Amino acid sequence: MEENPVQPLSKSKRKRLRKKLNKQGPKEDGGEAQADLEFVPAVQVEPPAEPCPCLKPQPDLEREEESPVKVKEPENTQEIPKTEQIKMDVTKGAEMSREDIKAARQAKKAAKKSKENKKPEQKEEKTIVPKEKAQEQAQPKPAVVKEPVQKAPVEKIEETGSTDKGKVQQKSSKELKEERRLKQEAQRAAKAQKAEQAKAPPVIEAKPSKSVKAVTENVNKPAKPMLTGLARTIATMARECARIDCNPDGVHPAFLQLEARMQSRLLEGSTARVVGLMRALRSVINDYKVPENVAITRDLVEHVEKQVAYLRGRRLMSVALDHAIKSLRLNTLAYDVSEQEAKVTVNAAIDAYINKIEQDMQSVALNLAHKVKDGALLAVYSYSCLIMNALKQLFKTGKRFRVVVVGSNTHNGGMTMLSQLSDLGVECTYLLINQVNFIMPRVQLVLLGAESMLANCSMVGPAGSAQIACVANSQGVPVYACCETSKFSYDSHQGSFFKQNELGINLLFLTFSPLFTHCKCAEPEFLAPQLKNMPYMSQCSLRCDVVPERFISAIITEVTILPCSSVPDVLHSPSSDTVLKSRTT
Amino acid sequence: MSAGDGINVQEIFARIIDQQRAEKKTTDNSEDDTVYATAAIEALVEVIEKSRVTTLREVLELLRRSATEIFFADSCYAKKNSPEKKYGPASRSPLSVISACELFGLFITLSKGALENPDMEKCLEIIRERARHFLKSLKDGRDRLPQFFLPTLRNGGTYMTYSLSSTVIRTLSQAAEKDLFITIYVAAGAPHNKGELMAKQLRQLSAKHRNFITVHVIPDKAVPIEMEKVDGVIVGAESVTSNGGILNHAGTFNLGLAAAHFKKPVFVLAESYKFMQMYPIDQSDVPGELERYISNRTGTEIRVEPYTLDYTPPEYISMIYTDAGAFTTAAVSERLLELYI
Repeated sequence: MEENPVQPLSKSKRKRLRKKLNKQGPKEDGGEAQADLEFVPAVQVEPPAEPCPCLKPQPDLEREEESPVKVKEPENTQEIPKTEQIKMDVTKGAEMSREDIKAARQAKKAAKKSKENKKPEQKEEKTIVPKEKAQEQAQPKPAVVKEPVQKAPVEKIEETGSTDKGKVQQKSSKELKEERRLKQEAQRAAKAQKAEQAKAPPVIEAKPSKSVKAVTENVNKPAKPMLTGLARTIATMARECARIDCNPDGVHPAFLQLEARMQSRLLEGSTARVVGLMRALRSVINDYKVPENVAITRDLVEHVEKQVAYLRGRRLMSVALDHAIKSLRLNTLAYDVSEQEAKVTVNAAIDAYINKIEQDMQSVALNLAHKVKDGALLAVYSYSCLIMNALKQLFKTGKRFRVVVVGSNTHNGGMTMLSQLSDLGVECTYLLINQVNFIMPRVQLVLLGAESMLANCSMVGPAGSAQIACVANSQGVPVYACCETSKFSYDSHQGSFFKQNELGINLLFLTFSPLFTHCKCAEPEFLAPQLKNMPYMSQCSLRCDVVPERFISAIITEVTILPCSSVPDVLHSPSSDTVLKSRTT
Repeated sequence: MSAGDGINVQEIFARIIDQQRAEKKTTDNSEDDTVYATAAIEALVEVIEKSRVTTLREVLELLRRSATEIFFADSCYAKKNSPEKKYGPASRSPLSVISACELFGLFITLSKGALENPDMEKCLEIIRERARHFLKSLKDGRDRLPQFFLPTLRNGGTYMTYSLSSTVIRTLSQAAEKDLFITIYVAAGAPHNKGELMAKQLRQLSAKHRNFITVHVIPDKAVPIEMEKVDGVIVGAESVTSNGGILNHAGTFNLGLAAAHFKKPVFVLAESYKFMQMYPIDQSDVPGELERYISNRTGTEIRVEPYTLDYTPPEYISMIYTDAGAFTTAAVSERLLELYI
């Protein structure tokens, strides 16, 4: 985070500073300038050893404990409010860099008194910035994209923190110089130590120290003030969609696992969820034993219902899932059926349903093939099993196309899509959702995987879909919703969608790194630590999103390509499955 | 090309069309799409009868194959027997033939129960019966359409139309019979200028009915100028797509755009057999083989790019009038869903 001190300075200010530097020259306090010159190489040496300080929280924390620098600044810590201190402890961002920043701040303060000090300061910044950038470029592309996201909040906090410090310490330049030298030595020592210790790969390992956990708990508990205004409404709305926790007693481990996988977004997209559900159901059925003196039909239904209730309590049951469960027709089992027979029947039904899903996927792929022209540039958002499969098929049939995978940093769907597509050999580009506007004019069509289609013709998709569709619509790019008719729903959400939504884990303020694997993403410890002790902040990260009808050009279903307006027609058509007709409760 | 069993579908088709022409003694240009559609279906029936199919599946397979052949036969026929000079280039589009054949296939297999008869003769009899029924409804449809549309016409109103459409002519003739006084602006539709033909026919018609229809031919570039004055736009369609858009002579979209600008309603007159299971999003979505087929039909030595079809999206269409009633654009897909799902 050496870049930080640069941010507060506007361009014009920097220009002015440069001018001054040219005029006055570094003569007046050569010592300070020298100190800076010495300081600069120290930073320059750093990069090769440590690719990006913010990526390496663990070693930094260790270093913090060991570094003698901490002793050097007793007045600082006293002055900083307690929360601030905790923040510092918690911060996974490089502690070392923070010290640099602190030093820089102090220098700046001093510079306010004697303007000459500013010149070397400026120099230092200039030399550092390009290094940082070069570092960034050396990393894989996504890193560059994500850089600003993670930096913004950190910077702010540190800014506010350092102003306090600045007031306290207004040291002379000599003092500063000494301090910096000491710091440098400390850093070097720390680095040497780290080099010995560093056997771990430069990935954020999912092993946050326990102290961190403890601290966050302590902080979160007392800080629960009354939320007012908008924040409160959002908090209540978020509570609405928070599921009631269900008792996991007696729930089959397969279902516990399923729920966990859904929660951690390992099971993303409704098709994948349906398949997961069916597999879990299969193991439930296979492990099922009829209690004595009980009719199997009744007990089995209850047993399965119990499992499903657990899931329903924790996760949003999309239409597809409901439909899948209903398709088993457990309640239509013959009364006197034996356990073995029942198992066979249900297993067959499960197989048939999974088979049908696969068939539907094939047909969707065939229908999509009409719409993708050779050499087209497609945009897809997040991960969708259906779209992935369709693209795979298209690619295998020899159609040439390129894909822009749009992801967001609240979930890793985009990354999953990207990796699968690139494994396949499709030319891909990865973009975060906030940059989608730039690529959109070149895109020929946008594909969105639908969670379900609502009766009011709008589409439910992963959070962010509406944004993509809106941008595409504003630029005249056709948006296709890919959805099997089994996902068509009788529900319509005229008002708040919160009730029907699912609260994702609060990954909103995730310190994002491209090296995250998605299971790690799911761990709440990876919240940006600075945000953990913001008492007035409420987080609300929703999983689903509703795309209005007007943004969608067509729905690609397994039957045919349909306009949005015919969702009700499909629902009401006599041939549509009767299971679908029963309204989900 | 042959549809198995040594039957030449294309020949049959050509012969039937010739027969119909001879019966009606019409000039080629005035014949409407229904002629082609009926000819295609009659050809299909004949093919089924001539072939020695023994199972229903074979019948369906044969139908599918024959339909595609008829589609290509149409183009062959147009090229072989009719020099471009006579027709004017792009005199016919086979689009409605495709949709009619598809519909016919659906219609005869509507209740497979009846066709599940071990005796193929009886099955053929059923098919023949249904085909007769289908053809009758096809022909009746033409006359049923105006009764839905005429109430929307204002007496003394001014309307604009584009190029040549037999459906529009027939509807307006009915309007004239009902003593509606109407002014029509016909956009010529360069480079083929079939609008002039349309105007000629409308004038002939008007002369029969006390000159109640006033006809003006305007060049295409004058469409926006005159659009201000008219009450609405009436166009035919080669084919109605499943999202409620239409495929029609190139230039219809321009009319739609101009009408949208002046907030004038656009009425489409098309028989319901022209509803097609096809979902174009933009102009490039008109299927490739159609484009290829169309681009064969170039006329003059100085090659004017032969754009003959364009796609008008449903946003620019107010209402589609068919022999089955008036449809909003959204209702078209509902209708198709009923048929195809």
